[in-house]
Amino acid sequence: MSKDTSAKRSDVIADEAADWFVSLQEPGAQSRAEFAAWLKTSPEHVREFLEIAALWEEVNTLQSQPSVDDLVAMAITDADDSNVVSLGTPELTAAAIPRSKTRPEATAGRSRWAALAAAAVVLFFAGMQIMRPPAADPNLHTTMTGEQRSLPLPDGSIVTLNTQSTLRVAYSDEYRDVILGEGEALFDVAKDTARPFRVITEHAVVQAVGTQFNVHQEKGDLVVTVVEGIVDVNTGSGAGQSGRMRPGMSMPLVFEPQRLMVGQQATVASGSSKVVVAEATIDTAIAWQERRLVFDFLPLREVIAEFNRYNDPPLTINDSELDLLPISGVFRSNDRESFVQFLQEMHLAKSTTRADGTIVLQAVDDDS
Amino acid sequence: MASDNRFREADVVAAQGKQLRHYLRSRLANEADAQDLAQEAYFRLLRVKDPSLVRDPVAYLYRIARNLIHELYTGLPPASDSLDDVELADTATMSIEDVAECGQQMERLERVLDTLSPKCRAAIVMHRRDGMTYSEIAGALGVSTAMVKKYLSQGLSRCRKRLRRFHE
Repeated sequence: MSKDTSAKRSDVIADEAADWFVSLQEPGAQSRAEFAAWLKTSPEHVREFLEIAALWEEVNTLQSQPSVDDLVAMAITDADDSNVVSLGTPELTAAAIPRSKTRPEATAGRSRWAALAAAAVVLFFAGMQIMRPPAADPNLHTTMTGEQRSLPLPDGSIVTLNTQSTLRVAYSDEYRDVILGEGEALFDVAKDTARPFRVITEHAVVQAVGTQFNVHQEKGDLVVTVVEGIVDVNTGSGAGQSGRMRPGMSMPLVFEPQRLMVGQQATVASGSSKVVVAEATIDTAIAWQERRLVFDFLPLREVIAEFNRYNDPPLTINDSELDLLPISGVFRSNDRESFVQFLQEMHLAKSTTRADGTIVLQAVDDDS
Repeated sequence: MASDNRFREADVVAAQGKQLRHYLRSRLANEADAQDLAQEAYFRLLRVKDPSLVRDPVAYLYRIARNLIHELYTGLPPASDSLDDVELADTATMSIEDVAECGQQMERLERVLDTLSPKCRAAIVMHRRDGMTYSEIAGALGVSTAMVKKYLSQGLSRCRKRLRRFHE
């Protein structure tokens, strides 16, 4: 446990060292006295700064990285507008254009990234039976394994679907309702106080006006994270798809919503309507948008489940002692080879590939 | 006055790059050495009078580190304890083990860079390898220069954290 704590502390110091290092590249930008005081905090501060400086020098000599053109192309196509797919109907496309008018705060001065951060992420894992689509429904959108796709909604909001997701759009005059049958979605919600935006999941309704939030439901456990603004979570019996709640219906008054503020995260355990509120890690919650997977001491079993959402055939563990092995790091969701290589490099596991392509992980013998 | 400091700092950073690279390659391979070095640098830093440290903390730290590396290699303190340049030509020669370690280190670094988000990686490589300025990178990626700095800082700290785990 103390090793975990000290590793996390080192990570924080490394973050700070990198921030200092980059800002000190710019002449006079930061207070030198402040930096000197930071350095004097502990030997570890000194070390992390030196390590970052050394790393900086070392990067200078790299030769096998892609060309500038390729780097730019990869950076720009990554989680960008280029994969926004028009729904094809002219009025929908036209409706998406005046978006900057309805959200003046999202225009000048805000970077693309800030616009993304000002978006709502909804994660929802549920049984597929709820949403079994009738074919060729124009309001129904699905993604395959490993696929991510953005599409404009009629009011100018934009939704980005993550892998293996199903979303149905059910807008009415009073409500902007969407039903997330399974998977995960990032919502960039256009502001419209007259018409609340609601995400209806299996057991809960998550409501916003023009705001940013993250809903994650897996095996019945629901996690809602607010990126920006305020969000209400209704968990009363019958609040979700499984109850009486249907698109277009107003919320019964008996429900007492849990109000969440920026940076807060609410957890509702499976089968319970009790809401536990805590602080959130927002960066991690929306990392999938950049095809990043961020793990912070997550058991290998869950790490593998994450990779398997994006890749087929799957990774499996053949050794129960690996199940709870804590994994920390940032990986590409579509590059599990690097992840497997990482495990091997660290002598955490070895891998074999079955004929059907399944990658099997096994514990490493200590004396091998 | 301030610009004078700036110039000196940039100068020192450039001149010390080689030693710092060497520091990374040789010291990082040995956790105990890296720890000792940081510890000793820290105590020397504490002994520096605040006004002179504050004038140029980065240059000060680098010189201390460089002096320490010199001592580590030669077993001798630098000719003077001043901040004058110390000849390090002989210590910059690497042993066969160092060269092998350095190759491994570079390989790891390349691999770690590949795991960064494309924007972080692009910012670091384009700035360092290709010498592009923040605003050139910002233009190429269609983001603000503040974001470029954020990518650089995030990228560096992630590389550092990942590389550290190779050595623990």
